[in-house]
Amino acid sequence: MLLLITFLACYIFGIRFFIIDTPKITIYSSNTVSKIDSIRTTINLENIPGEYYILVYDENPESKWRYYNVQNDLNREIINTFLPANVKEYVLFEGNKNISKFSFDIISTATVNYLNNNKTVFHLQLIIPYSPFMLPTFYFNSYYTFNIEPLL
Amino acid sequence: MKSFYVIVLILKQIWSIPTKHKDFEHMYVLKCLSYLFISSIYSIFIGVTVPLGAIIMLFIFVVDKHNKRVKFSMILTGVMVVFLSSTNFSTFITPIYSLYLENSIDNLTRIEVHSYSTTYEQFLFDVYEPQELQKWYDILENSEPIPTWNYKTVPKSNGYKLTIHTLDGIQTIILSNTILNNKNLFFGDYYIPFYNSQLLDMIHKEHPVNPEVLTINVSTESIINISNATILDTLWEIIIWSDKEDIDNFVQDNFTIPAYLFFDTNLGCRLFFSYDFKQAYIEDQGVISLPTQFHSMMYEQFTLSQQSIVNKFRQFTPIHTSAQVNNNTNFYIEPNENGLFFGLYRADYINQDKIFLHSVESLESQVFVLKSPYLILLDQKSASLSDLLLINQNIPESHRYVVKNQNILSHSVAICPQNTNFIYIENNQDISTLFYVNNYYQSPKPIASGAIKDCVFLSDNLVAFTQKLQGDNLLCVYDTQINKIVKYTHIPGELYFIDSYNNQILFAIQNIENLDLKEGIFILNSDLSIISADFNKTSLY
Repeated sequence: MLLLITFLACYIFGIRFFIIDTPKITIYSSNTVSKIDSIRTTINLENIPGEYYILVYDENPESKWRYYNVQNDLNREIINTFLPANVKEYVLFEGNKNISKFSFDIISTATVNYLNNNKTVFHLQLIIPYSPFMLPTFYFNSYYTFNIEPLL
Repeated sequence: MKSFYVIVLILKQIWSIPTKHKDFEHMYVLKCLSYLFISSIYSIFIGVTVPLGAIIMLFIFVVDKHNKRVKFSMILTGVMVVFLSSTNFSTFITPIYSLYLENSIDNLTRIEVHSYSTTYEQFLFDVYEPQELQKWYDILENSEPIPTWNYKTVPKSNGYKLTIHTLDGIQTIILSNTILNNKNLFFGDYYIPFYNSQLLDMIHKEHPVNPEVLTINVSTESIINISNATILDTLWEIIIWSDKEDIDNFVQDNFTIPAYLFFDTNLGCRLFFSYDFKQAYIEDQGVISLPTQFHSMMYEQFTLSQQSIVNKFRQFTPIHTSAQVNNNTNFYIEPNENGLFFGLYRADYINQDKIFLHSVESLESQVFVLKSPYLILLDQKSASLSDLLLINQNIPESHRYVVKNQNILSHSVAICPQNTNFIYIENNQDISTLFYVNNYYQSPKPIASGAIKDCVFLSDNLVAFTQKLQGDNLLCVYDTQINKIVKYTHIPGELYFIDSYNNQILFAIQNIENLDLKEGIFILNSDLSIISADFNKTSLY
């Protein structure tokens, strides 16, 4: 019993001092051809891990972004741990070794005046779960931010 | 996991009660159980967790005579449960993190601050005066540890890297510009997480991130000043945090437009733009590529600044139609024989006569010809009251009031190239609203409101209008198909529409700069680009 507890305690403290190789991410945005005012954002990964999640959102509710052409994954644990409570619109992708590219479209219903005068900063969290030998899952979270140019 | 452990502990103790029975006692099991559960009771007193139950049971234990060993272990278990319930991971780790940070930054000798991003780092400034170092130490010491139980955040956003030199060695701190999961300071090789509310401001005092104005010297006489905060912040962000292209490939001749970025401190940055504003060269650092929105905006501002100095501004007549010159001579307004009232008449050349269409309030009223058989009559009742009527020539008695008793700006009435839809601006005390009519049987649709000055059709789907917003003059283009404003350009001066034809608009900008009168003529195309036009051009026809 005591052995188990010491082992767990060592794991929990030790895992913090472990840095895994995280994949390299490039993000770019472009206009979509189909709809005149939507922006397509594409995320590319190199060095893909076996299992990972990508969470994208804008913390600012006033930018009123709507996400299209995307199928949201429903992993509740990831959402509850990593998504701030006040963010209602977001995109969550689940990936594996075979997928290296994700894209989604966004449109804003905020006024042109607002978009032109306020920076839009998007948060992207690359979450890689790590759970060796059935131990409780520990996540490594690479946290990126990027800007999207409004379409004017 | 903690609750699991507590349950296991309690069950283990309960299981051991019968085995450790030594002396005979009435209700032994019940007494042991009560020892166990009452010792688990605790309360929080002035922020400190007090194992109230255990203390009470301890007093009872002292007087109790039998099975002391078992009962003592029950009390200890109760205290254990209290301990586990009231503490969690954070209470352990937080002081450890704080201590680690404090120890590592003791005996500061120098702090270097660099800009930090995943692709680029640049030295900004360093701190080595002992008094300044003390201030930085105090701020760093105030970082709040933010431990997380089940994940670790590795920052990859734009921010700063601080290299802390102490007598014992060098430490690195990454400070992020945005708050990432409640943290913004990451200490050391293992990114130990903290939140610091003052460090970013401290860095910004030395090295601000909000430029005041970008001054571009387009020519010896002409300067463009850009003060839109979003544009300037984005430009500075690119200068500080993005990859630079090598200076080796740099050819000075390609970068001919000098510019200077001013801050409200002594900080400044000299850049040289390429002729199309797609790139800029920063001395000693390299070449940056500017994002599409940025260089198209800058190139447009550059085009709009191409104005000539004049002695007097020209006056332009308002334009109302976007089609070929509308032969309006068939319709006219004149008083009747007695001069008592006015009427709208159509000239009948066949009979050498005129046909009365509708009564009109004054000679200042205007008529505009739509696609046959419709006409618009802007009936001016007084200086600030007019009616806007739709008249069917074939049944002139049945007119339709589009607007009644409002202040409609007569210069603003404009008709689309197909002669079917029209727009106008209505003034209501301080606010003017631009209305669009595409269905004669429905009420006009408001497109925009504010300080709207003039409007005209660019094409059948695009409406161009000028607006004054927060002191700036803007040229906006609204797409009636998607119901959105698709262009929004700052105009250096006052804008006057001169002509609209063939999906183009000819306009003039008049500006007073340093006591000089400057005027320029430009064309807005239906792809929303703006080009310079000859100064003497007054018609697109």
